[in-house]
Amino acid sequence: MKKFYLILIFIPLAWSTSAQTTSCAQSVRLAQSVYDQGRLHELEDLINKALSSTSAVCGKAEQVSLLKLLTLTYIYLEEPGRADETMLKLLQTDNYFKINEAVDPAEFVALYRSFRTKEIYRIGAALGVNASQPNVVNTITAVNDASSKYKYAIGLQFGASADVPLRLGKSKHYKLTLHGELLYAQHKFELEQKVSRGLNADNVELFQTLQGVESQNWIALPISVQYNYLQNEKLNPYVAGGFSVGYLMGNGTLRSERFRDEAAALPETSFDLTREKINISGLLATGIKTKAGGGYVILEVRYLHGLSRISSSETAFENQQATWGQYYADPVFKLSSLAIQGSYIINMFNPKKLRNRS
Amino acid sequence: MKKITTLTLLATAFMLTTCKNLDNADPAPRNTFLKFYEGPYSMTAAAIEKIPGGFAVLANMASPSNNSTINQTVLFETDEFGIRIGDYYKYNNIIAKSFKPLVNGEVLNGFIVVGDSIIINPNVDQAANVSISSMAVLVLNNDFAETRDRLYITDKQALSLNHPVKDDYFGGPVNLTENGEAIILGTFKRGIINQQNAPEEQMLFGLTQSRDSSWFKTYPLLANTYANAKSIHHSNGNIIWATAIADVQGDFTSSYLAIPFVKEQSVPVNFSQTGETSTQLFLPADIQPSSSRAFGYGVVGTYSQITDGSKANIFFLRVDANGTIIPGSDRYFDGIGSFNSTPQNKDNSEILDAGKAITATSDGGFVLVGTMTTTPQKGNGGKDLFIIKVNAIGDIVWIKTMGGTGDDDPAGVTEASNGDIIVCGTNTLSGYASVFMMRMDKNGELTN
Repeated sequence: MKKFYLILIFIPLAWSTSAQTTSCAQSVRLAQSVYDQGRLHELEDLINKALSSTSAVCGKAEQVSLLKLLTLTYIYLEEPGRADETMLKLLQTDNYFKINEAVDPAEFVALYRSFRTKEIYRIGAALGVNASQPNVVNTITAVNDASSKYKYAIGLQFGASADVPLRLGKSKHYKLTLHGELLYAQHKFELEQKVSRGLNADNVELFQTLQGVESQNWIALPISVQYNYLQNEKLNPYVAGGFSVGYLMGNGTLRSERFRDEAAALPETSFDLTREKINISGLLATGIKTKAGGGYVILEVRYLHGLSRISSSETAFENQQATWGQYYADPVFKLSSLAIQGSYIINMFNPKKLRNRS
Repeated sequence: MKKITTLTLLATAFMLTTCKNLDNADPAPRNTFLKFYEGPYSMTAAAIEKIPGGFAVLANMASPSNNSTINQTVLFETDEFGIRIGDYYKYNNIIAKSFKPLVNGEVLNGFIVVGDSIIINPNVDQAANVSISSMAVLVLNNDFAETRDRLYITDKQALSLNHPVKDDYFGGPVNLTENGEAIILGTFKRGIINQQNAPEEQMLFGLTQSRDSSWFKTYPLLANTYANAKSIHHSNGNIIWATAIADVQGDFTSSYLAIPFVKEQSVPVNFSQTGETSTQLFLPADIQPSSSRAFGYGVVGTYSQITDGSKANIFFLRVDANGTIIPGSDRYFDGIGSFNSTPQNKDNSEILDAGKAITATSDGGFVLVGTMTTTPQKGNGGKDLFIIKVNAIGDIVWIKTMGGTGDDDPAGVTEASNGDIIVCGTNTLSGYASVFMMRMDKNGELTN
């Protein structure tokens, strides 16, 4: 009995699905036949009915076939306005529709080329890591006989990215791309300061060592222009130049520990350091874009060279816990970083009739 | 393509080669600074003096040696920016109290250093003889080398039934007279049974220009203990200093303030006092001349209405050129109260303060330095620096507190030739002491 009910449920469902698919496919075949026979005046009704049918909904490929036939029809009926409208519908239906110059009529090819068929921008997401290191402008130190150095540390960065393909003059090729991102970027770097305390009673030199890691959290807006120097279907290597504007969230935080030979170490402490809120950097990058799905996978290596100072001489001794507790004075520095980042961006289209070029 | 590659490589090379790390960047062009000087062992600051081209700092260090400890005085020189020049110069078996550079024009000829030389002998009958102190004087040349045998003021009497305990002599402040002789203020305790409770009396010691012993005079003005401030001054044949006198013999829980003003090698010509008719703790720490000697001196120290020091404030008062305390010139400063109200009531104290040193400024005012002890209400931990700029009559011009989690204790303050303020002292963290020197601008800022 149960089997009987199941059959009762599935038979109409299967019939309905089959009927729809078959119906639209039949419409496409019928339309193609009518077109081949030159009965162009019958096609408009036939195709519009098929496209607007709610009982036999057409799939994307069928819609494209029907719209293509309709566009050809309007071309041959010398109704250019309606041909444009239909071509626009076709391109909106399938952003990746391509003509076949060997097969398609020349008029259709010409009409296709009078439309913007290229993606106008791409949006996506990016994820990467960076290694940051201060570029010291001036040292300010609270100790004597110190050997001090910064070392890079690894931070995380992620966010949204966007591309706008650009054309150079009247060139057909989109060799330039305006690229922008909105990133959360964590920048970290290590500090080591080693100070000689002189010789002990056994003529052994004693040291005091400060080890710390400074962390900063930035919202960054890198803007660059990419130049695709070798365009092919698979790989699009590029170089890029631009700038980045960063906004610091909170302050720089230094987590540090001080060790002293033959004396007790000071416990690890963490304190805020005053930093400039805005950082401007020059940007150089190289990367590869490869098509994947409806967009691109991008792998990029990017160097950001700090142009503005993110610490100030005026605030070198501002944090009293840092100066009096860790013997740390803030140098004046800019921040540079090297990042490796992967991203995926999706093509975004907005087809439209291009103005006639004289 | 080649052009782009070349340009990219050039830009990358430029960016990478212009990157500098801490050790190869230039120092910031600034005047103010805060510097710490660490020794192999704990090092506490004793005094700071201006010398041609910079500053000299006197400190003390206890170094281990053969299962015992040697007291070492440490002297070092810095430039105007606090960068140490040369080594730490160490002198064994002396705990320095004060020093004076010997300067002729713009030439540094050496130093006189005054301190205590202490001999410890636990195997003696009298407890008072376990530690015997002598006043020691070092004379150094401009290479920081001792040029002659040390001078000592010490008990040379042999122990006997009539003299069962050695006299103890303690060094104090040193200064130079107008003709280059040196005067040293010290104290001593007579060698009597129960010496610990004996009064500490005052003495003056003179050195000739060639640093030979010239004269010695004691001032047993009262039978009570004296606690001298860290400076002594000589002007027109008169010597002036500040001292606290205990109300009760052998006890220092209650004291009043006095300004001995004596003729050289003679008796006091003035002995101005304050607080002698009331009960309080009055401890002068430093006395310094105004920018013009005619305007007398400024005195800084600690005042507490409660004699256990639990209501301690920093006090400042003025003394005229003849050593008389100017009535009504006293001012009091509290680490919390002085930020909220001026003038501070001397008997109100919201936080424990202690005055430590003073310097006159070229605008006619003074800078007072001291400490305030952190409470939940205020402070960065332990003792913080408490710095007050006052005008000629003691009204606050600006006031600052600063410090870290440890104790920050000033030993001296002086004004640089451009009006900047130099503070020197001891920073103690986790039981380990280092010397600090801080140069602030005349507004007390560390920003330029």
